[in-house]
Amino acid sequence: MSDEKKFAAYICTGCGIGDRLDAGQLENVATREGRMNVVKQHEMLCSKEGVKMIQDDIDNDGVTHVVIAACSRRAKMEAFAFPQTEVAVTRANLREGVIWARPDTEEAKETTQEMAEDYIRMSCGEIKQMNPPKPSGQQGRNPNVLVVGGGITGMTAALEAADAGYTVHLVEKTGQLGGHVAKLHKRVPFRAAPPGTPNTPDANLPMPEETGIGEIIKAVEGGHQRRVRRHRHREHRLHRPGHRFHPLRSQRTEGVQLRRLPRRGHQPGVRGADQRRRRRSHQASLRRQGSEGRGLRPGRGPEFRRGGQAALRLGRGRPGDLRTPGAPGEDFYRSGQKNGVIFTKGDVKEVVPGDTLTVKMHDKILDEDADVHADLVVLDVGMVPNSGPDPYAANESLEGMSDEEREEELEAQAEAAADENAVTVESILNLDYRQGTDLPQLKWGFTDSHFICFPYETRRTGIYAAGPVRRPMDIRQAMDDATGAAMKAIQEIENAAQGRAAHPRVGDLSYPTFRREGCTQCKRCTVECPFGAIDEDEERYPQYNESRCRRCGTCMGACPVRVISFENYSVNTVGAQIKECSIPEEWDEKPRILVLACENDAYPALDQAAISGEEISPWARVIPVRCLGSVSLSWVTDSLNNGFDGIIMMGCKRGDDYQCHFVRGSAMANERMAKVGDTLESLNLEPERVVVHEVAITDIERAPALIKDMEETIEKIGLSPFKF
Amino acid sequence: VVLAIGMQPSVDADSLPVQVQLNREGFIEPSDENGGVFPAGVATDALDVNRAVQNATGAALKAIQVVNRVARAEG
Repeated sequence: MSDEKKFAAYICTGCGIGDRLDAGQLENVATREGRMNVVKQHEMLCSKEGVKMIQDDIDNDGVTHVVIAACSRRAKMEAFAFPQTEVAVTRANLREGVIWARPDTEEAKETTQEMAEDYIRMSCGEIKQMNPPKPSGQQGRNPNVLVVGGGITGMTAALEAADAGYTVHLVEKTGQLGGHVAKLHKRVPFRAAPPGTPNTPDANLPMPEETGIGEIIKAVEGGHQRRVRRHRHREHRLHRPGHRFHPLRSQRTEGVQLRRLPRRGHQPGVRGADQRRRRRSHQASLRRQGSEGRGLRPGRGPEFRRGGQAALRLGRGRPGDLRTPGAPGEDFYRSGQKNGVIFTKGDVKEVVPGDTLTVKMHDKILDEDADVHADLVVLDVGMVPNSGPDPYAANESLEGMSDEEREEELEAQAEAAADENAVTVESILNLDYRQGTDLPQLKWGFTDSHFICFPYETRRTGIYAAGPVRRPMDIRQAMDDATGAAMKAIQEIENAAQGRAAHPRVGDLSYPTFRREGCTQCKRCTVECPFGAIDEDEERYPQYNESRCRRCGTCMGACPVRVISFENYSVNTVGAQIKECSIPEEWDEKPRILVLACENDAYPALDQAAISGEEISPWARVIPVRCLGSVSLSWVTDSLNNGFDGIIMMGCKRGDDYQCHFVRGSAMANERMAKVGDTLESLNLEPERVVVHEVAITDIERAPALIKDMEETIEKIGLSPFKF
Repeated sequence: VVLAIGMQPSVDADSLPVQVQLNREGFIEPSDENGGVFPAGVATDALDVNRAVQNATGAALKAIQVVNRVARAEG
């Protein structure tokens, strides 16, 4: 392929686009203003013939850059999946973005056509700044999975990954497999009652069963299918996931020699459930055997264990909160009742010692004070994750402090660390990251991993948290979790094998690079990357680790000198769209509202709004961004200078219950945009002209309404004076 | 007044190509005896969103294991 660029735009007239818009005029815009070398129309671009027309131009006509003016970039992705490394492709959203978002009326015709023409201009501008991504060659295939922790979670993950055909290296610090489950006498049953079991009180219900841990340990120690290798050593260091893994001072190793581990390729892993349990005295689960307690000896016999199991199982959660999840849980609860366990609910005030123990409590069901006599009181257990030191804990404690306070706090921290009696949290992963040695934590020390939208994902690419290190869970759930995490690790191995990004930009081949000459070594990118993907080299320039990068562009948004870019997404690709958008003269009274919408939530919400028949303001021009974190302040300044009347930034929810796919991107954007006020002031513009909103993918009515709000604001404060 | 709701499986075991292990409630029990059928989400138990996602990710791996095993055997 020659280096010569050839630009082509293809306009689809299907799905009503041709009926609602003047396609000939759009062609004119693409040719004259967009300066495309090839412009073609097709009545159904996503059909076999339509795609073949484009492919033929690529193959025979040397087309390297393609604008597809049709439906949203979220639709027909398979049809328009041209080879990423050969052609740059962008999409002008004429269907969801224009005709479906606007009413089909005579009055709306003019503004609808203007919208479409603008999207053509913008896409033509964008494509000129885009290039097909070139593979970096940094990543390769490495079918080795490292599992840290030899408890039930770690071992399950190891066995499941081995069953899928991958080589597994299991590391257990204590040298003893089994973790906490190995210390349990029995486990709660995994299965509910079989079919045909009558619904009577005396029915045979599942009872506590063997933990089965022995079998699992045996499988791991036996090197399950010759794929599981155990490593016993105290210290290991993970160095850049994409590159190598080398242990320090390993004490004993079994199985494969660590130095024989492949040096290239990705090194994903699964964090096991190496958790500690701590008794919480204020949360008592009560158990009473019989009425007066018939000679039960504490700590002996299956009767005790069974009851203890019941308390352990049922009492977890908030105080006074008994949970019996699912059918097996309910059956187990019933089997407890059948075996004489009496369940009651209340706040415990005091446990009085004597011949038997008297538990003074307030019964919540009967709303009265009650005494319960028991031989034994089993306390509820809580779970404290063993996550290692939080890389960001020290920084967080400094937030919002004055310089003086900060200095004092740092001194206090240093003193505390120097105290030889201090409890220091030992690192588990020993990651060689600029941003710390272990996985970032969210609340209560649990690993930061979005438990619904993207479970397992941590803020360290290629490392997946499983088991109670992620959130409290029981044995069955931890085993499910381990299997899921093994799946994620395998996905990442296969993505890395092709040099592709992991979640959520799965399949993306682009990665950020920076222009060394322009870099001022300000370190903002290295500090703000939510994934710790950027280190500093010996000369203090940023050093990108492709395999850690999620391609969110938060570094790009951070860079004050705009030297960071992706081949297909940069300050210039969005800048060009802003520049190419036509700004009507002031007396036309047609405002322009720039919407920078997160491609993960806000953009699909707007698409969905159009699909559901919600109207979107004809003044809005929507540009999808990878994450609000990638938004460069210069886009805001440029668009204001170009005469845009309002700017709306739509990103995901931030904070502790964030929904940002890049964890901190949306929060970063919010912090940075606090500075926009200065820009507005210097331009003598009203602060209402720039707003940041949190928009969820389900906000299909709210997202267009937010744009409408801006339209009304502009009506109130007037058009921007910067129209030329 | 908001009433607590239960969950009932909508599993039609007879329509599946192989016999699967059900429990008393009619949910599919994960089991080796199910052959290549791996239940996921609320087909296995009354689960919340989080557990369903967990469960489904694991079930995907179980299916991949079969595919990879067959591929290896056919070499």
